[in-house]
Amino acid sequence: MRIIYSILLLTFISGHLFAQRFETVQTNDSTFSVIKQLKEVVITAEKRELSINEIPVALSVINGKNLLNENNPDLRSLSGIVPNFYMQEGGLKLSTPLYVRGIGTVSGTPPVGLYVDGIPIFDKNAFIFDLYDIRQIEVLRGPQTTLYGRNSIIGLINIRTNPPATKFSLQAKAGVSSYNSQNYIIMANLPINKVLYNKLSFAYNRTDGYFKNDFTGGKSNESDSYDIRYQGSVFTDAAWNVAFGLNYNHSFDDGYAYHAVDSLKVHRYRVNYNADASYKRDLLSTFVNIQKHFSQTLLNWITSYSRIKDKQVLDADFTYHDVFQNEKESKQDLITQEINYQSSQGEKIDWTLGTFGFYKDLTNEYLATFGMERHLLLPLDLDQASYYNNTSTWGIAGYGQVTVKNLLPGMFITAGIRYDYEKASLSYRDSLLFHDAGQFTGYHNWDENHSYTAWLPKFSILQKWNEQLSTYLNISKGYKAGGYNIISNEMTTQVVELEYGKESLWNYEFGAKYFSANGRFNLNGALFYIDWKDQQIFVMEMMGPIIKNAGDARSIGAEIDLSWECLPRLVYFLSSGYSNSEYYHHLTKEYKGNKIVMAPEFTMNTGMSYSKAIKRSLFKSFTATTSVTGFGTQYFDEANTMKQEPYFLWNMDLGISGKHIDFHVWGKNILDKNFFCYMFNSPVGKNLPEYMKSGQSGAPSRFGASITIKL
Amino acid sequence: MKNKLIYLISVLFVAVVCFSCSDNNDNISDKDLIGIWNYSGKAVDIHFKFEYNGDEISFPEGLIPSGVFPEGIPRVSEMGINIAMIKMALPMLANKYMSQYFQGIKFTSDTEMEILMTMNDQPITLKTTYMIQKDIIKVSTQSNGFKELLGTIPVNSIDLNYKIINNELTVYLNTSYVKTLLAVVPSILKVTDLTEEQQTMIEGFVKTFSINLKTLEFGAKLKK
Repeated sequence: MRIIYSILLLTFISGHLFAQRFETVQTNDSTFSVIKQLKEVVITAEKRELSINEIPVALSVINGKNLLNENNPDLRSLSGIVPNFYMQEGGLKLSTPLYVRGIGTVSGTPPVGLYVDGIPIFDKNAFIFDLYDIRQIEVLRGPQTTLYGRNSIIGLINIRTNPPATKFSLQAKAGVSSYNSQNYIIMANLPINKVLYNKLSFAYNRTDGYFKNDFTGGKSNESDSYDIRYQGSVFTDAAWNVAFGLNYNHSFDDGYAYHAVDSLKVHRYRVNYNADASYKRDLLSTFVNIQKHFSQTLLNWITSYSRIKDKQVLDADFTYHDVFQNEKESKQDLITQEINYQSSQGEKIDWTLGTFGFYKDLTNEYLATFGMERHLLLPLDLDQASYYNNTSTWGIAGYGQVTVKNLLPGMFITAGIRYDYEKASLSYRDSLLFHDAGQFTGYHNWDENHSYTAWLPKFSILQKWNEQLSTYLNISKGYKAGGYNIISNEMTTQVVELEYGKESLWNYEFGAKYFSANGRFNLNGALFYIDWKDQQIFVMEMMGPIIKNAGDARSIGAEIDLSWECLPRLVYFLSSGYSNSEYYHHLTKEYKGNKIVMAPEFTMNTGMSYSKAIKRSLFKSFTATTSVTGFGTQYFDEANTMKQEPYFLWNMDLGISGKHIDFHVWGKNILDKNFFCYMFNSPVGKNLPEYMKSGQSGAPSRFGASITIKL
Repeated sequence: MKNKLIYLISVLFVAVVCFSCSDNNDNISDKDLIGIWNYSGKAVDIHFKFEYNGDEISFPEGLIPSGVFPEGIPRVSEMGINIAMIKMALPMLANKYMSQYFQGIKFTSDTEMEILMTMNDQPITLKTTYMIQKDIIKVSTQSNGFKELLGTIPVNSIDLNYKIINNELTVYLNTSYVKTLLAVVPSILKVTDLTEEQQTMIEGFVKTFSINLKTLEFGAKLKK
């Protein structure tokens, strides 16, 4: 109730101050576009500065100012807003399913490359973090492996934060929202002698969550986190850019919020399990980015280091029965180095040459503890199973890309190729504590290594017919290296078989980008066909999930991204994607023809936005948005027996902004639409049929408000 | 059921075989493995190591059918076996059954093998596949012949440790694997037609045996 009172109070105050403006908003039912693509926006995802219609790839650009529809947005907030982009809402930060164009994975290595200020983030457990002080997010759909290699098999998310300002400034933001959620951000720009520019940021978030665990009586998805960020840049002369930074993030989440689907249909947000479940994560990252401008060329040097430590505890049967609990701790160190050299002033040719290398050391320690009712899961009479897995991986790649400009008038031809080499070494052992035995018995013990190589070409033709219209044809190969599962689920043999192989795909794409001469209409469209080989899929086994290469799939679809200023300051927008993705070959023959797990058949975001300059001492502009975000049919298992029918969520957003203060209120899923964001076959489902189909309810309606003070 | 278990035990003990001619198993080559490895049928060719907490293994009444143990062996009965006697008598007992059913193994390639057996006085060949990791041979039980042999017993493969010294291949079950197999016994019993009382009795015995088992290596030595 406090949240509602807070929102009402804030709305009331602002209503008094700006009654006239709000009346306008209410009568016009106006809104503003969450994603507004501007022709002048500079895109850096191609590792050079280009405009949207110079890039022969389907892409969406989200301005940091348009990330306001939640107090503490993260990448999941882009679901549906970017065509054919889906990230599961809910779940832990440990693993969030991500799909683009019907291609993705429930767990394991993400299918999309993620870069923050040029620094790669490799692993799924670092993908979810608060997006604050963001300048721009670029989401490229289709393989980007020629320039980015590993992970970017079906896309790239390129995040750019606001760099340190040249003038002293302070900014503070406070927000509240439903379920006792609170959010605070403080930022300070601290330049020193016009040479060293510094920015310090601190963000804190907490929420009670909306699930209740009947067994404990407590909340099952409480969450709190904080983030400390330092960014620095040194100015020497115009020929050099030197940027560096340090980021530390800590988060703690309760979870999971899983329960039997039939029960959740009656009580959406009540679960019932008997053991603690939580996820604690610490992220530390640092980088240095050096650019040297020569007369005709540019040299980039980017070095990064990151460490992730996390610990997951969960009731792995997700029931009130005393079956088993898991505890997993992992520690990862990652060092990356990228050097690229490129033309900067080419009139006829743009070229880029680069090399990339990394070393990653990941240790997982996993302990499964079996309770009195272990017979509901295990064929073995075990008390505990202990696992140790160390995987060290190093890789090196070389790439080159060239664009020939105006080969014919307006025709740009781009060709690129990359060679990727990666070697992974596994050291694995586990031991079993048989029931009532005094000590563990060693069982698996194995070391091995595998290497993965790939040539990753791309080719595109872009035709600029005029200043408004460009069309393109793009063929590119996507690739994701193989790796090792964390634990051996196979307890009936001492032979260790943890490796899964690489997967690859070919993406064929035709697209068009149009900006009207009057600047009031923008339309981007794309058609694509994807042939996906040796797909790495996620399978829930007895002791935990594994990844295996299950089959081949195809995805065919289309995307549209439209914004139209139909009346002065009133913009209609539509972002929608359709993908028909299904297996044409599967290890389990009866799954042939089935839809790919989790990928929604369509995504959609449509609505209206209204923005207006206002003449008040404190405020200069007003924006209002209403939108509907929708997702098509989703299947949650390979057999396609569990599915979510299409659903649509209504969102609203109001904001007023001035030089020194911003105020903002928002609502998501306003009509409190009921839907499932995840379903799975419970590991104890064979013995407890009522749990066979388990899942998690999607987020309920939420409302929030925030105020930002800028000095 | 009893016959099937005996067949299974025979196969477990001998089913596999293989390679290389030194203690350094990493250097074992397929060439050393491929060929026919024969079981002599002599007790001396049983590989057996056994360490147990206590002096005797006691059997619940009715667990061991009469006639299973040869008569006349002191301190060996259907009620219990003295550990010292196990060490001495089990190789003989194992050899008694194995020599009836098991003849040898033929490795036809680096993934395929044939287990040469005798059943109902007729020679039969059990074809299957295998893979090797470190000092373990994993023999698939998913071939038609094996499935027929095992029936509904849920075992997808059998692991055997191995070593080849002086042209003699020793294959055996190790302690960890035996303990794991024993831990599977309750689920195997559920698919049998044994009464609940019998199942409880066997489960109790197996649990006690597993807890007290310190070392068990059990297999056979084969010669080309």
